[in-house]
Amino acid sequence: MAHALNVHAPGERLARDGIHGVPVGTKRMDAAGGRFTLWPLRNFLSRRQGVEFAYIIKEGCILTGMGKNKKRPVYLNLFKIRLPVGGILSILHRATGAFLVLLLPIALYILQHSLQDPATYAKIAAQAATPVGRLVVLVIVWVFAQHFFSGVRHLLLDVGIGDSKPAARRNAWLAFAASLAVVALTGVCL
Amino acid sequence: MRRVRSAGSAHAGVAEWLLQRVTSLYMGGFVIYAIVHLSLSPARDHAAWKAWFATGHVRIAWALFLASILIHAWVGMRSIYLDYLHPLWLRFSVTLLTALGLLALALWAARILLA
Repeated sequence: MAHALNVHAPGERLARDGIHGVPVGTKRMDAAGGRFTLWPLRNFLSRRQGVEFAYIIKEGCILTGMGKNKKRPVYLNLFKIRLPVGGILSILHRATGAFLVLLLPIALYILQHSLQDPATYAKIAAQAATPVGRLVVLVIVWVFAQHFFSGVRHLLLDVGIGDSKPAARRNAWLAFAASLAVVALTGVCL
Repeated sequence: MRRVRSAGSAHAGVAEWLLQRVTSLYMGGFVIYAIVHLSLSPARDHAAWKAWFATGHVRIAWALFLASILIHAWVGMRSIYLDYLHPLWLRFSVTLLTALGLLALALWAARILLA
């Protein structure tokens, strides 16, 4: 639901797909102005929505449908989809989350070794203090802060705070700004 | 009715939804606590770091934190796979590998916490 709120801010004109219960952008999907948000795309492609088939009819354009129902083209070309800032933040939330999961074994390794003995602790601290080490720390801090703030935004949207269209866009920008501020602050402190 | 049935049961996914939010609240709280604590009394050497980690409630807080991470990671990765990995065999294999990997990390984390 958070993604739905996120991508389609209230007030945006949407038509209901009578078959899947999936909101579909009302704008026509012509080659130049294929304006589409990712939420219907996600719904169309997920098994849970009961899409029976989806096939490519031309570059960046697919057909989906169920049985006898009307087929409609959907733009899949990400470069032709103009995503609102909230949508970009939402995708970034997933990307940063996946990155942090990949980082988990390394984090556990560092935690284990930092607790082992003073020599290893000193070695890890020295590694983190080198220019490359600082850069790595800053990148990880940014990824974490970005995930943290977009997560906070999701939680607030869930309870109905800042979910009007202008507010949702504003606090999406705010989430970007906050994570950059954290990176700057860490950079100063390092 | 056919439409309703094809969409699955109404409460499917509520547990995951809730787990994702509860764990995020705990992790957020813990991270803020850890940052505040470590800026007020930085772990300058191994002894200080180890002493902080050895305190009973801190160790339990860490245990809950690591458990929350693994649960949060499981729900999050699973929903990414559900959305983007369409061939069933691929989704099944990647989900299984992720489950095994996270279980391995859980056992490793338990070893660190019990050491």
